[in-house]
Amino acid sequence: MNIYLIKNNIKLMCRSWFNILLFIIMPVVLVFCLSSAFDSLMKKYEETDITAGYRVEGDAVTEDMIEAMCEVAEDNDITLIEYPSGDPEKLIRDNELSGFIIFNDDTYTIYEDKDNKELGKALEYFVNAFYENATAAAMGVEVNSAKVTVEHPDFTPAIDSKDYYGIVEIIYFGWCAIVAGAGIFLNEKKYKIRKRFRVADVSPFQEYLGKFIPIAIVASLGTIIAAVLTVSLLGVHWGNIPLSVAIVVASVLAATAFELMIYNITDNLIATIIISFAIVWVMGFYGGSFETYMFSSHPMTLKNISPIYHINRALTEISCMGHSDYMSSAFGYSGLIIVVSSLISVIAGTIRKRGKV
Amino acid sequence: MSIILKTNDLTKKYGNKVVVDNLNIEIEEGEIFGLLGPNGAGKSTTMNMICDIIEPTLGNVEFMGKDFKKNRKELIDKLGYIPQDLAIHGNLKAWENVELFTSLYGIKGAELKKRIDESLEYVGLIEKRNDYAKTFSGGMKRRLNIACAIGHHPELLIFDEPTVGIDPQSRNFILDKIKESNKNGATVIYTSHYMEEVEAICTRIAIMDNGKLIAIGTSEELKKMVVEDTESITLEEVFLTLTGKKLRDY
Repeated sequence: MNIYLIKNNIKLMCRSWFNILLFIIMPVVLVFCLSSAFDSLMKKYEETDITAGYRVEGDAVTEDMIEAMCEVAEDNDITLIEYPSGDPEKLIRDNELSGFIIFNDDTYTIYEDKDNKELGKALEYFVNAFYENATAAAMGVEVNSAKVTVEHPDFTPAIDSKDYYGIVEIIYFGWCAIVAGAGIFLNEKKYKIRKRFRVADVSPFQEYLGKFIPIAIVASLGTIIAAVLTVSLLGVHWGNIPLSVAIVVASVLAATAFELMIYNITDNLIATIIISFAIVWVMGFYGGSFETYMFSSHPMTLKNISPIYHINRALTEISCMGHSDYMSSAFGYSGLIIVVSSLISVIAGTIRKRGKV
Repeated sequence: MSIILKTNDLTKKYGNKVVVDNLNIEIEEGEIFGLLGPNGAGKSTTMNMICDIIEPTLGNVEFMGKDFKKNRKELIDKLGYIPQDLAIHGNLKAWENVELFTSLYGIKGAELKKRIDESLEYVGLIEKRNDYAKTFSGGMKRRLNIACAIGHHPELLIFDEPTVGIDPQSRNFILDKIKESNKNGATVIYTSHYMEEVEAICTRIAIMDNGKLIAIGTSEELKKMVVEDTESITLEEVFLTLTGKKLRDY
């Protein structure tokens, strides 16, 4: 690995004002515009107070327990109102309830409002947590049964437009990584600098690393600086910072490898940018870069094919829940893209080594 | 004098078009060998094959008695190539350009720093080491282009039209440096369209046309191919007599 080649390529990229504009300024401006534009749309998904009805139908459910549950619920902005009779679904409709719970001896049934499923899920989570803690307390295990925290359920993380677009647009711009190297590619072609590499017998792998590492470093840095700016200027919340940074870097590395592969195959910057951006746009379209993916009507199969979907979903869930089941697939997809694209790049470079500079 | 470079039936074809046709030349150690030819004669293709930038269709290049392609790793730092294009980065400073291209030969650390200063000093750009290449004049860029190719101390220097588009002072400086390199022991292959330059510095000259070697010898020997009285003819007239006056790039 030639550190001087890497170092000087980094200098070349950092001296380009266009890179600063693309990776730092544009994402911040776009995040600001999109989060403002979609603020009202996203507000309905924000956390709201929950009012639910309940009825006790089992003899084993004690009054003390219901009383305790109502108190804990109150602490968590959940109001439980008793309705001794009536059809639960009708009661939900008529009284604008978020849900209805029927307690039996050792089971309970929760009716959810079809239009506010996320509130029903929150209610379900609360009751579950209460029962678990109550059981633990009965078994003599010390628990904080008096404080049950209602978290946003997994299936529909509540996130505001600022956080959502603050995350997905940063990722989208990170997928434009190849542009960071545009100046180098143009210069190398225009002035036939690659002749010097050929004469010095620089291997295709070395040449690949000489581009991959600098582009990945510059694009990652630009993306992280843009993210820091969105945090400080717009108050975007990323959740677990080290984990989010790791996913962002993995994403930029994957983008760099993927787009370098296209460049090594086409050997043409314009074609690379057109092809890369078209593919990235499609991945972004199904990955939630242009709309709220969790409510979109796109088929799940298409969403799952898009690496950007896994990355966006992992990051937005980390932002609002602190964890995500999509973390492993985000890393897995990125790793796979890096390995496969790098291999193809080196093979294409080896094939192209002779006869064309 | 021993042979430093030899081409054996070197041929390059693109489809049915023969660009270089069975070229056999021998270059002796310590000489300045001029390669002349009109546009499209095959000079650059020959240079590219000598430097192993492109693959010959037939034939091979022997460098220091060994097949160059097969012994590339061993011989690579003995060859310096100064391309016709200004193969430098405008957004890098002069010393950074030299660092980048000298490091390709595995030179690093303190030795690399020493070579950078040495190369810039050699081409008269040491005072401008911290200036961006894009701010340089045409002549300075040409000199930097040379500095980027000599840092690894090659024994054979290949200059591909190094004086194109520069003022007489810069041209004179570059020619003096080529002669100085030669005096210091480097063998030089030099291509140019400027006949007086070739005549002034080259010990032997080859003329190519349509991919073939049509004449080779000292300036005097080439002149004698055309007329007996060598005083009455210039190298340019010899060149035009041998290659014809018809335009090549129309």
